[in-house]
This record gives sequence, C-alpha cells and structure tokens, in this order.
Amino acid sequence: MIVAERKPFEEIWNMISHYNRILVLGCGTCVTICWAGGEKEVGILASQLKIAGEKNNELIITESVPERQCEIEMIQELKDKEGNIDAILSMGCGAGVQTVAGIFTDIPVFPALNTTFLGMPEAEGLWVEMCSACGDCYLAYTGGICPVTRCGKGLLNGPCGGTRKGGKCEIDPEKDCAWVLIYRRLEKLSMLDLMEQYREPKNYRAVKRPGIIRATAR
Amino acid sequence: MKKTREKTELSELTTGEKDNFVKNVLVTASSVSGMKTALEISRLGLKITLLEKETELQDNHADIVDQGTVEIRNSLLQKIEKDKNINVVSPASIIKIEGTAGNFSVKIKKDNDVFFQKYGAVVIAGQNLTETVPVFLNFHNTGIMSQQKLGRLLGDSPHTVSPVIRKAKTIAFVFNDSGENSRKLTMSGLKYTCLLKKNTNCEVYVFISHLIVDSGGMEKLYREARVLGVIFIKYNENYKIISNKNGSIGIAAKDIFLDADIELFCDILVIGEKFIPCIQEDGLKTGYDTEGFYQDANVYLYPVSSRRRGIYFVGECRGDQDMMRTNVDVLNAALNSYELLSGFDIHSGGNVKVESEKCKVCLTCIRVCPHQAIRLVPFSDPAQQEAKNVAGIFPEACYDCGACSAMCPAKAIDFEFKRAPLNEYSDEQILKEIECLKQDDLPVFCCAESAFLAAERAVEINLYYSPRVKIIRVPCIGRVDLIHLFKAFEQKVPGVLLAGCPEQACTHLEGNIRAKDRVKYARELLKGMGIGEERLGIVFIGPDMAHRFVREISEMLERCST
Amino acid sequence: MKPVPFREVLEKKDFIVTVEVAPQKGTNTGKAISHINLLKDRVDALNVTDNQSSVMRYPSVGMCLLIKENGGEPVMQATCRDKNRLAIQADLLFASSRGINNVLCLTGDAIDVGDHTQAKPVFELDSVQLINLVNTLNSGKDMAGNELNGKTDFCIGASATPSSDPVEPQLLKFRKKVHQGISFVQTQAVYDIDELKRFIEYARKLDGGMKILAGIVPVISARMAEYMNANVPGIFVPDTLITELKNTPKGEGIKKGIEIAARFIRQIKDEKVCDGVHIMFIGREERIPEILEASGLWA
Repeated sequence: MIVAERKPFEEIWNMISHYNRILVLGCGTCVTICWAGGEKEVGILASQLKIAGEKNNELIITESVPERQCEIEMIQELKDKEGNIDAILSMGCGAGVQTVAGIFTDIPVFPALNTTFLGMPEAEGLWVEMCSACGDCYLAYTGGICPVTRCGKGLLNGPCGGTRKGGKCEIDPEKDCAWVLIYRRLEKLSMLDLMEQYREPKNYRAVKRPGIIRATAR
Repeated sequence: MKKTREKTELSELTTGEKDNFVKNVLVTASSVSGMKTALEISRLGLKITLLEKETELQDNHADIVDQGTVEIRNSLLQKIEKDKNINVVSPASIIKIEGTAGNFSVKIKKDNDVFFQKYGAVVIAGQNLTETVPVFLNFHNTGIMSQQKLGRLLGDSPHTVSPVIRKAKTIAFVFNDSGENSRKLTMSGLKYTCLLKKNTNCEVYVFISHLIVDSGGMEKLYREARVLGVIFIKYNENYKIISNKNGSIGIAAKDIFLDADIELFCDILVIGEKFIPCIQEDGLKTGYDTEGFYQDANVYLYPVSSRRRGIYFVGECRGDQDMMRTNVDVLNAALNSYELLSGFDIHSGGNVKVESEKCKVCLTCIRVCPHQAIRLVPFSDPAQQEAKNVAGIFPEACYDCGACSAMCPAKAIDFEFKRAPLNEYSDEQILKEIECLKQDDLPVFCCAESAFLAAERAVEINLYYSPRVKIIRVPCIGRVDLIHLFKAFEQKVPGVLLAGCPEQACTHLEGNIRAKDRVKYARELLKGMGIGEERLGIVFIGPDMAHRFVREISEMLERCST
Repeated sequence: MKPVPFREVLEKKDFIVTVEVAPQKGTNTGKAISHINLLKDRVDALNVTDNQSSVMRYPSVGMCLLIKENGGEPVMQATCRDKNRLAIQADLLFASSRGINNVLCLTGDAIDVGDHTQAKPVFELDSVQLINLVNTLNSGKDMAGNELNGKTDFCIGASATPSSDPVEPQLLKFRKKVHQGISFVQTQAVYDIDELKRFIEYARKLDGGMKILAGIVPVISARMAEYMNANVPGIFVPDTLITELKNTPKGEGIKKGIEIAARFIRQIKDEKVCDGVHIMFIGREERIPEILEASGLWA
C-alpha cells in the first residue's frame, strides 16, 4: 500500500492560514491504514486548525473522509460543497490530491501529507518500503527481496563494498544489507546460481513516465 | 450467499458465550509443577491434556531442585497414570494458540502430525533451560564447577563421594553468580554444604551477598550448616575469581563485617548455575519479562496470569522459582482455570465495540490489543453483496481498556454509549465532558484504576486542590485519544494533564507507555502551533498516592498558568 | 622520461606499486601538481579518486590529465554514483581520446556520507555493469549497440573487499567482476596477512589472469584504528596493531603508521603474497615517499 506521513503543522498553516472556509479531506484507504490521513487524523488536523485560527471568527473547518480520494466518482459526490468552501486541505496521497484538484477546479487544493513510499507494516506503527514501482520486477532473481528498493544504491549484481559488520547497510547501520539478505535466502533455497548470473543494466524506461496502463476488457 | 452463511455460523461459534466454554484444560509441559497442576485441576472436576515434549514424562531439573524430587516425581507419575481426567500426550508441543479464553484453538505438533484442538484454558508450567557455570576464559580446567556437577560427584552417602571431592581440603561456594537471589540455588547450595561437612573433612566457605531463607525449611538448613561448621562470608559489590602461581583458584571479595578485602584460595569453587529462559517462537503472544522468562513484568499479572486471559504460567517458566512458590502457583492456576470455565468469575469486559461498516481492516487494533482479544471475523455488509472480514472484539478476553479505540485510525471502535454511571468512556461522553470545560479549567484525564482513586482519596482525607481542576475519568490513560487532547485545547484551557498507573504497573499492561508516546507526539504537534510542551503533562500515580496527586496537579496548574 | 603504460607494467613488473591521489576542491591545481611531481617517477601509476566519499571535487578525469601533462601514468576512478549511462560513456570516450587508458570501476560511496546529502543518488549502473560497459566500449560499440567512431583501449581494474562480514556475498560479486574481464584488482585496506592470503588464494582460483594489488592504508593512531573498525565497512585492524599503536609515544603516530605499513608491504613482497600494493594515504600524500623508502620500494 501507499505510505504517507503528515507534513509539519507550520508548513500546512503557511499554505492555508489566509482561507476562511476549509475542507479537511481524508481518505479511507491506504493513508488511513498507515495512520496518516484517516478519520482520526482528519479530526486531529481540523482541531489543530481551529486552535491555531482561534482569532479568526470566520474560520469554518469541515471534515470529510471519502472511501478513496483517487476515485473521480467518490470525489464527485462532494462537488456540491464547492460553493461553501474556500480551500481544500487534502490528507490523501499525491494521487488523491491531484484527483481532488482535477474535480474542484475553482478552489485551491493543498496537500497535508508527504507521500513517501510503497510499503508494508512490519510492526505496530512501523512501515517499511518494499517496492519502487519500477515497472520491471526483479524479485524472481533475488529470492523475493527487492534490491532496487531495499539496497541503498539499488544495485543489481550484488552488494557494494560498504556492507557493514554483520551484514548491515552502509547508509544506515540499523538496516540490513539487502544483498546479504538475498544471499542468505538464495543460499537457503539452493538458488545461488541466480545471484551468480550477470544482470544487465536495468531498463529504466520500462514504464514511460508519466505511467499509463490501458487494460483491455477482462 | 451460502458461503457467507457458513462463515457467519462459524463466527457465532467462535464468539463463545460462557455456556459454550470448553471444559478442559491443556497443561504443558509435564514438569513436577505441570503434573501437580494437572492433578489439582482434575480434583476440581475438569478434563486435562498433559503435553510432554519428550517421549515420556520427566523433569529436567531434578538435579538442582530438592533431593527428594525423584520420589516426588515418581509418586506424581503414579497418580497421573491412575487419574481418569488426565490424558497424557507425548512427545508433543504447542505451535500456537489461537482464540480466546474458554475457546482456545491450540495447534499441537505430535510426532509428525499437526492438528488443532479446543481447550478452555492453557497452563504453561516449568519450562526452562539452565545454563551451567558462566565460562571464565582464563580459568580452563580449574576447580570451578556448578552445583549440578558437585551434586553428581558427591552422591548422597559418605561412600559415594568421588575422589575429586575427597582430595579437596577447601571448598568455596558462590550461590548466585548473577545479582538476583535464587532461592532454589540457595536451598540446594545449603544442602550441599551440609553434605560436604557430614561426609568429608573439608573446610567449607560460602560467599553470599544476600541470603534469603524464607522458603520452607531453609532457615533450619542454614542453622544446621552453621552448626556443622560452614563459614559464611557476606560480601558487598562483586566478587572476583583469582588464581595464584601454583594454579590454585581463589575468590576475592570485600567482607562487609570485617570491612576488609579478603582473598581465599580453595581447591574447588562451586558457582551456582544461571537460569536462562528458553526464548523460542512459541505462538503464545503473551510477552516475556525483562529477563526473557514467560509472563510480563506487570504486578497485575501476578501470580500466574498472562496478558491473554485463560493462559496461565506456573513455576520455573516464570523465572527462578523454588518448590514452595511453585506450589502456590499450581493452586492459583488450578483455581483460575476452574473459575474461568465454570463461570464463577466476574469478568465484565466487552463494552468496546467495532463499528463493522467503518472498519478498514488495517489490523491496528489487533496489533495494539494487550490481551489478544481482537480477531478478524466475517461480516456481511447489508449495503454490499460480499461478505468481508473485519475486526471483532471477543468480550471474554477483553478488559475494556480502550487502547484499540484510541488507536483506530478510522474511528471505528468505541465504547458502547450507556447511561449507566459506570460507562462514561464512549467518545461522545468524553467529548461532552471536554465541551463543558471553561477557559481556566485544567482537565486531568485520570486512570480509573490509579489516579482517579488517588483523587477520590484526596477528597476523603480533605486535601485541598483547586476547583479549576476538572477530573475526567478514563478506564486507562491509553484510552485517551489525541483528539481528546486537542479538543480540550480548543476550549482554550491552560493545559491538559494525563494521570495513569506507574510503569510496569498499568492495569492494562502498556496503556501508560502508549499514552507516554502519544503525549510525546502531541507535544511535537503542539509545538508546531506555538503551544509550549509544558502545557501538556503526563504523570504516573499509584491509587494510594493522594498527596502526590494533589502536588502534581498543583504544580501543573502553576506551570501552565504562568 | 616517458611513463611506461600501466598495462605493460602489469604484464612485466614483478612488484607493482600504485598510489592514490585526490583532486582538490576548487580550481587551484598547484598542490595536486606538486604531489604528482613528487610521486610520478617513484610509482607505477597514480590513481585518482572520483568525488571520493561523495564529497564534490575537481573531476577525476581532470586530475588524470594533469598527471599526463606532467609525465605520469594515471588510473582514472569511475563511480556509478553521479552519472547515468550517457554521461559515463561520454566521460570515458573523452578520457580515452586524451590518452588516459586505465580505469578503475567502482560502485561509489553513498551520497549520505558526503557533503551534498540532498543530491540524487544515480547508481544507474553497478560496478559489474560498469566493467561490462568499458569492455563494450573497448570492442568499438556503445552500450546501446551502436558503432563507435574510434574505440577505447582501457586497461580495466576493479576493487575487492577481503575482510567483509559476511564475506561470501562480496566474493560472489567479485567473481562476477572477474568474469566480465578485468586486468587488475585493488583490495580494500588490509592489515591481516592471513586474511589477505585467503583472499588471494580464492582470487587465483578464479583464473581471471588479473594482477592483484593489496590495499595499504597506514593507521596513525589507536583511535583511528578503533574508529575504522567500528565505522568503516570492510576494514579490520587487528588488536595487535592497535596495541602497538597505543604504546607509541605521542607525536610519533604517523611515523609508527608508516613503519607498520612499510613492514606489511615488505612482508607481502618478500613472501610474494600478491602482485603489488596500492597505497592510500589521502591528505598526507607528501609522506608517501617515506613509506616507499621504508619498504625498500624507493627505486
């Protein structure tokens, strides 16, 4: 899923402080699950805005959490509110913010989150990046551990010389060296020949940016 | 649709009412404590399955524990064989325990078979490994030995003493190598010193930092040892193992009574074993204490409870326990299982409910719940055709702490709104209380189990505190949501205080720790809004600390009013 | 005196000595030139770092040209950190056209350890792919398969890390480098002769025909050694050396470091452990001659 993090309040306040009627718009999918933009976070941000703008008597904060911000139909339902608001503060991922901006053409839409990566929760409150959406999946050769994402340098042919003692990453001693993980896993699976093979330089245009997928009828 | 119905039926089955509780208990492993527990539970009329890892019932600690253990064990074995309520399964072990109190579904591995079996309660007894003497690198092949080894060399009569021991002129003991006091090692150590005195001619010295002789018969044993001529040396801080040029081993320590450093060279140095837990992937999800033994270090779980209702710990798996304490555990575990399964206990959890339509299945509550009371259950949304799995709270395992409610990112979990005076914990009711705050008020969220009682006590003993203090009772400060804090600040209050249980004494295990983290995060958010961190406080107060409670709130008032 | 091409040195010389030199940050080349003049006739090649430790500097190719102009033999380091495949190939063509014929292919340090920590880490290629790329250019084609109007003629080197933990993945990657075709190998700094010997034995079995240069970094204080053990990946300074350094009087650390390095070089040479050494004494280039002298390499 998409993992995001809330922006610092100062940054949000600088974007939005001169508007009076603000809609704080959450999203009920990925960013709810990663504690960044669900109903609870919308409530907290709305409350923060009210406290920070207590001197502004005309300040009206409304809250809404559609199931998915990145669905035109789901945002369209909110369109009738447009006359009553001056700005939208989106707590969706980048895709959500842009979907909302595409529909609410007459008022500005601001992001309240920084969209960070595609990942999974490793434990309560701990999300880890797992996929770079590179469009050219290598996991078959690397024992299901992505070197493009989890190696600090995205190397394809093995570890750099920077591997720290105990198989930790040069960049962050807290993190495991992805290639040591890959080596151990392939060794366990008796598939080390996959790591011995030379990997050609990656096709960085596997997805032509901006990416579009046009699927045929299923 | 048919599939949906099947699923729903399954869910009804697993959401057990007390009547549906499975009336049998799983006990593992069959150490002395396990066997005793099984017999005790059998006496109360419940069926027991006794799991044993090895091919036959045994106890790994016979050497260190009392000399009488072999006899005890044999008599227990005979009793168990005759007992019709007890079914012994071996060699088998638990892989994981799913479900909740009264209806555990236990995954068991027997030989190469893996199967699920239903149990109402589970008792984990006496499972730990012992590590012998810590390795002293520079003292290979010297006279250092463990109590276990000494016991084997000593035997039980003058004729069985090994020549190694017979040759020794001086033998010194250190009962505990680690700082903690082991009653078990003290007991066996005292016994060995007496045996040495009776059966050999050697001098026996015992180095002790603290000698605890409160277990049955220990005081007598200690006196006997002294009468027999064992010399006890009380030292402070650490002892050091030394050696001289002849290769003799010795011990150096500071004698408290002589107030002098002493050195003693001896032929054999007996150092007590270290008990180390066998941490393994056990599928219990019950946590460990700081040393890695079963059972969280939390006073509310003592003596035998775990964070999962219906799972109990007995004896050595809880740490270094002697036989007397283990016997107390055995009775407690038997009684607890009986109360649970016969419906005599007054557990009243399950006032927290999931609004299934709003659940985003993020699993936050399942990860957060300290009691493993939340699982995914099938739910058919009337608005949608398909059935999906959503979070469901099992009342028989729930303790109403509200940790899930405060954490739910979709605001899908809340206490049921009840007008009864004891159920003021729903969001709506807490927010109402917050709305009533006036500009000068100091709201204090008080844990019902600790700070709130302290506040009541303060009133009882006529301690004055400012009427500006408004007490908001919560089941646990882990229930206080960030939104509650911010809504309070919306009322322009000078500050907000959270008051909960002291560390490792949270009635709901980690509610206070989670609240502490939450306060830290909230302070960051407040800082971004220009609100100083001194305006949000958190204190940890025991239920009887009325004076401290009043002091803390007065200080808080002072801090945030200036 | 015209320098002997490094390729010939590799083929003919019994004991090869290269040293590492770092370009300055800025345009004043005076100091670099003085280092070049100091060292060029005493060693077989001068090896120029490429934005070493991710700190932005005068380019490797630039200093290689200075070495050429002043009559030395340069080895250009090329990393994958800062350039995509177009830029890397273009730089290599340029270097080749100006007579720089030796290239050491490296992955490059992480951006995070340098002085431009917000930069985009490129790493479009890795070191194995870079070796493959240089071989392709040598064959007269570019990476996309197009014919080159004039091919390169690079003598290709790679690095190796003999004392990594775990070492197996490192050795596996090293094997891949050898299979791509290289002429010489420089190891990360080594201090333990047995560790070096184990690596050499492994490398010889690969039968790649490449020459192996042991990496030498003088340690000048016990603190530096302990710091490197704790923080510099792939470096292990044995306790005996640390003790030796600890017992060194204050102010004589550098001298001691040089002495230890020289002793180690002499041992490598006398026991014919490998084909040569690569000395890295960044920031103290002017003292490298002392190492050469002390180890009997000062011709």
